[in-house]
Amino acid sequence: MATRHLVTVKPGGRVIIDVLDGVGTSCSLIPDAIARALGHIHHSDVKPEYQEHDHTTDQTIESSY
Amino acid sequence: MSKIVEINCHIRDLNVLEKACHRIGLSIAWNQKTYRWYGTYRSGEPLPQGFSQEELGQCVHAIQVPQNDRAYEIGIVTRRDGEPGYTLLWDPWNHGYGLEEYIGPNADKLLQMYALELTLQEYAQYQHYAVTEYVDHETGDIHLELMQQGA
Repeated sequence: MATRHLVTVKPGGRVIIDVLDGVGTSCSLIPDAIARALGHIHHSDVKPEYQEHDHTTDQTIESSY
Repeated sequence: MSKIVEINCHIRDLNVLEKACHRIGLSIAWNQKTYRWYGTYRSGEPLPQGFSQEELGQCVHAIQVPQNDRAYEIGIVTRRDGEPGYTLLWDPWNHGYGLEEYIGPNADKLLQMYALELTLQEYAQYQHYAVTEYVDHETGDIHLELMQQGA
């Protein structure tokens, strides 16, 4: 299944990235790079579905200045 | 009465900042060493952290409203905390005589566009993503849906 990223950019520059159907470290590679470029990660969370899959990760990352 | 406000963000990539400016109708005047503001500092007004009174109005580049000689400008200045990159200074007096219409209150719109362009740039480095962009006009949020192709 292809990885899908849902990104919300809020007024003020806060970015929320929701990674769906990511595999392994690929789900955090780009969000982590964006967080580094923007500032820092406020919140990173592996979704409950992760517990049910060995290799597929859903992850939400929020970052801002 | 006037004061200079520091926009709370850390700009590291001026090319991204230029794209963000273009999205909202602004332009960067490269190597313009002063930015338009009220021009007089009133004793007692807070100064941007790390800046002296004499430094107000000075910059390395400026962001300007095209075709508007009255609107205040944004100064792009080097950070004063020892970290690499830039910070932005502007005078919000009287809404910057039109500048705030472009950048939004507290420069929220400019910061949003910078974050958006930075995000798009990062994804562009990892090819194979089809991007759909849309705006929620009620909240002002910009949404991107990126689907990995050929995985």
